[in-house]
Parts: sequence; C-alpha cells; structure tokens
Amino acid sequence: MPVYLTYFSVLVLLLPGLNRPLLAQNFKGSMHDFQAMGNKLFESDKPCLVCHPPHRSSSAEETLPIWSSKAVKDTFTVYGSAGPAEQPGLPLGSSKLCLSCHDGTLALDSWGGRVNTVPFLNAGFEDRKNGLKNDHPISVKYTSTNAMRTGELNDPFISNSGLGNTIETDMLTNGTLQCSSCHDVHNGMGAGKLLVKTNKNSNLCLTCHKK
Amino acid sequence: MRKLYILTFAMTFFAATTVLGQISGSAHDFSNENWNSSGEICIVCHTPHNADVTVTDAPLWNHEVTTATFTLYSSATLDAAVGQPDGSSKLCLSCHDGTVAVDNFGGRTNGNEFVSGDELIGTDLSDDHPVSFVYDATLASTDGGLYDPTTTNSGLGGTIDDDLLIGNKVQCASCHDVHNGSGVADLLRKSNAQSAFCLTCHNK
Repeated sequence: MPVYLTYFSVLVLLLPGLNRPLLAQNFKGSMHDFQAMGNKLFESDKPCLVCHPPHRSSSAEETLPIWSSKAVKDTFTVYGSAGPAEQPGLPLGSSKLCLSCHDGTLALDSWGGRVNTVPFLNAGFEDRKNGLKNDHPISVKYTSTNAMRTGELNDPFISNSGLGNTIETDMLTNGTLQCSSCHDVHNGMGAGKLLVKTNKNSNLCLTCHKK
Repeated sequence: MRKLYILTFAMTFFAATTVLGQISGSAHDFSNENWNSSGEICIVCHTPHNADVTVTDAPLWNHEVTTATFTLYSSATLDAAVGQPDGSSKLCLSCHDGTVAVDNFGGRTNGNEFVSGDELIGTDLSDDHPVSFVYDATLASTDGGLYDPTTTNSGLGGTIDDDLLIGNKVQCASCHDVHNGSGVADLLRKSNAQSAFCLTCHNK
C-alpha cells in the first residue's frame, strides 16, 4: 500500500477524536481532582486512585471500569411530580456511583467495606440529604414516545445534543437519563460544574426541554 | 436550479412555522440582565438541584414565593367563587405582585429588582381579570354569558377545559404562557386580534 495511504488511514481513524479535548487536560484542576483541591483525605499524587484502583477493585460494580469498592447506597427518595412525565426509578449504574459521594450520607472515605461517617461533603450544593425529591429526575426513560406524550421534550432520537450526535447517542444511557447525561465526572469538556456542555443561555436545559 | 430554490423555500417555510415561540429572547429571558450573573434563562425560576419541593405547581422551583394577601376582584355580575390566588397564579404573582424581588432566586432574599410599569399587577387584584376560580359547565349555565368549557373549542386543538384551564380553574396560565410557547405578544397563548381570545370564553 502506498505510504500516503497509510498516513491517510491513520488520520481518518484519529479524526473523530480530534475535536474533543484530551480528558487529562480538563480533569486536572477540576473539582474532582482532589489533589489540586488540596484534599488531605486522598493520596496526594494519585487523583485517579480515588475511584479507580488498578488492583483489588470492586467486583460488585463489574460493569464499570475498576471501581474502588467505595460504599454505594441503593435506596433513595426519588423525584416525583404531578405532570404526565415518566416516573423515575431508583438510581442505576453510574448514577449510583455519583451518589456514593454526593448523597451526603456516605462519607468520602468509605472504602473496601469500611463505612465511615466523617467527613461528608459540605451541606449545600453537593449535599443530597433531602433525597432526590428536590433534584432533576434521573434514571427516567427518555424516549420518542414519552417526548411526544408530554409535548415538552425534544425527540432524543432526532434532536441534536450539540455534542456531535443526537441526544440519545451522546447523553442517554440505555435510553435513560442519568447524572452523566449532564455531568462529565472527568470534566472532559471543561465547562463549569463538570457539565457536558455550557449552560449559558440555559442551552443545556433547552437541549431537551422544548421551551 | 429552480427546483432547488423552491425546495429551499419550502424547507425554510416549514422550519419557520414549526418554531412557534420560545422563552429565549422573550420578555421572560433574563439571561442578559445585570442582576443575573449566571447568564442562564431557566435558573430564575427553576434549578436542577436542591429545588423548593413545597411548590407543587411548577417543577424544581427556585424562586421566592409571595406571601401577600390580595384584594380580590368582584363585580355586580360575578358568579364565580374567586379565592386568594393559588396554583401557578401564585407563582406568577411572586414577581408580578411587586412584593418579591425578581432577583430573589436560588435562595437569595435581598434582591432589589422589582417589576414595574404595565407588568406590575400589585396586590390589589380588583382591577384585573379574576383568577383562581372554578370555570365549569355549572358556572357557564349560572352566568349565562360564558361558553360551556367542557364542550367549547379553545381554538388550540381541544376544549377550553382541555387547553386553557388548570384543574378546571382559570389561572394566569389560562391566557398567558410563561415560556412564550405561542410567540404571541404579551405572552398570550393565542392571538387576541378582534378580541378573539376574550370571545373564546365570553359569549358576547
């Protein structure tokens, strides 16, 4: 094969990744980079270790990448509203992992079977002590059908996410909305509040909500 | 080439007609106000986390709610039972009654932006169309000057009761869409040209 074709093939394979920032460049210095936050709780030079130990990871959360056996809770008071919206289920999958720190009841350093009571995240924005009743619902099915039924949501299979593809492809997990629909735990996009894209002019809200 | 022009025109036309109205750019888009440093639109009323769950008439509420007592509308020909504003009307009045600052959202209680001018309803509702009353077939029959809301078309696809009433009550939201969904002036749900909106319910 001619040399130029080899180079061309490599470039084509790389193209999809070229417009995305390298994750490490935005994770470092983010709210989840505990080293940068000066958090004495965790080893100072290994920010990934907080969630991803290379060895002896949790077998309970097999579907997620080498999770650290941080204690995880299963039961929450979920969001409910009187409208015709889909009712949320209990947090599943990656949302449970977010809540294992952000629910305000499991201490940050509850590792490997140890369930500590201090320290918690500060009460306030990161604290979910009120359960999930006062938060945007998660673990809800977001489909074309329920978008049509409410009349208030864009069709996730057709509408652009603003991230390259449709809402369904870029933001949903198995057709459900999760924490990761709006937040990137590794701060990949570098938008404030670990959002997947900026919410200036409420653009993130208005990606799905037809207002 | 002409077919391309026609196709482009048709596509633009259809695209334009499907975008009726939106909150962005409307009178309720406060994203560029100097009292709103977030640059966001929704946040003045809604927040995705730590919302006020005592408010059940709107999801994920984020604005201070009025505690005013209002002077109610009355007239010699009124048959409806008008009570203190409730439901979503109370939320509208939480800015439009002039007692709560518009920038009292996200837990802030010391804002100093207040609604003024034509948009100020105030706490005296005696000079405003009544809200927070039941409008049903019985009222229509008693009054004699109202259409039966359960059988009369609203002009928006269903009956008055389907489209304009909230739990069979008239509220601010019966006439106004807070999110400017229709794109009609004054945030109306439909045009009031020729007083067509008034005449949807009032049999004159």
